[in-house]
Amino acid sequence: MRAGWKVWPIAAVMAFLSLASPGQSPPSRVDRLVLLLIDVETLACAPCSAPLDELGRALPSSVLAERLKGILIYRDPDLQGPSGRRGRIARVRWSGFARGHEVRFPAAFDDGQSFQIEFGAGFAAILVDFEAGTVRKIPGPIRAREIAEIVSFACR
Amino acid sequence: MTKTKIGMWLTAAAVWTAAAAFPAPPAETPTKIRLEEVLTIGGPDEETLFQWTGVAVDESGAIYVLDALDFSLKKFDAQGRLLKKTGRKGQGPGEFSMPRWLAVDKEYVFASDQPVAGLCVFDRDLNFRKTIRLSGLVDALESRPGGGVAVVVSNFQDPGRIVLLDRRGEVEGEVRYMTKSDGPLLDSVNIAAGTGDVFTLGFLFQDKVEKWDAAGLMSWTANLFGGKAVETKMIGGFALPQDTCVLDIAVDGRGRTFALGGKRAKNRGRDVFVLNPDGKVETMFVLPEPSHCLYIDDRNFLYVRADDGITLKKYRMVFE
Repeated sequence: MRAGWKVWPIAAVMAFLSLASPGQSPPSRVDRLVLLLIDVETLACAPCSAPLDELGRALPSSVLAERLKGILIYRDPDLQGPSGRRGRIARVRWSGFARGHEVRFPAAFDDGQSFQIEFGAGFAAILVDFEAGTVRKIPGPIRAREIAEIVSFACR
Repeated sequence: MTKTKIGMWLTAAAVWTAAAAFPAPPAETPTKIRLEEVLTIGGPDEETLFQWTGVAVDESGAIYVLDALDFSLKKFDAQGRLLKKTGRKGQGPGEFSMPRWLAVDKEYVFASDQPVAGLCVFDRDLNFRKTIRLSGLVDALESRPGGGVAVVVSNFQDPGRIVLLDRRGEVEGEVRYMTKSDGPLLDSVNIAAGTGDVFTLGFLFQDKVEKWDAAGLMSWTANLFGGKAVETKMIGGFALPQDTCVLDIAVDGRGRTFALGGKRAKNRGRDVFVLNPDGKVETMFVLPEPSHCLYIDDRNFLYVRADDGITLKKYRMVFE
């Protein structure tokens, strides 16, 4: 599955989530979902990651836990996945970031490199409305206006 | 956009023992330097370091590391065991938002936070002691052999200043290595201290390595890449340099300068140029992996980055 910014059917989102979070049920009871596509290699860039902190402050814990999902993207030219060097480095880096920034939303690694996008800077977002059957893509860079849109969508 | 903001932006985008005594390197000119790995801290299989930025080592071999992802200052013993960790995200006492440079003297650990015009001071058990206020952001930091630190203070209106602080954080003097900058960021340097309050400066955006003393006299200047000026690109009305020259600099116990080459080098972040005490390039070697940092302790062990910043490697330098 290598969709890039092409059409992303909801079925594909569900399939990814079930693959990326083995043992966890896809969010079938959630009516909407915000996928945050996070470039793990820019986590140390403070301006790039600042919008993530803003989202964390703007959204209540219940919304963060249920309606947000981080998709952690890293470069893995050899497609070695979670046991490869790149995958392990990405996991260590995210672990430190999540601790330092007190991240409160769940996240999964895109080991299969399903998401190939241009981030702009740091991260991008996909807003999935299961009830309406729509998918809206918000490319990076994420700024105040985009954060407001994400917050509005997640809290609606 | 001020110079300091430009510097922060660039830095952000881009956005760092064996107790056995190490035999002193030979006095004669080395033709080759071989690295022998003696210690690894962190790595892909442990959650110890996440994106380290600054490193400093005290005379006992204890290793202090700043980490930009978990906003921490960590202390390891000479065998690489974590002894203590402090710091968290924030702007209060002992907190960090973009931790970068680190220095240690016989009493204190000095840490810089990029958006802060000053230094955080900890004792060597990592208890926060105080904040030292400075007149600009900290571009580079190095401990002084007699105690205290030398701080390159960044200020667009007043470029090229090294402030010399004593152990208490009081200003003891100042060195001017530039009085006027020909463009934004051209005064950006890394600094390494030698014996007797002499400083070697590696210019980030100029092909220059210079040696200065505390009285403000330059001993020598050297080029590593032919001396050609760095190309610039107009961004936001500023002519910003595009190539990095010297990413970091260190001095060993023999007074040799080690300069880590940037984009100008054949192997970016890996080529290390070794200059003799008179500023002549003696030899060079290539690091196994790219690093942003080059640190040499007082036993002449070399510390560099690996695994994109989640690993700190310590090497013995064998002169052949």
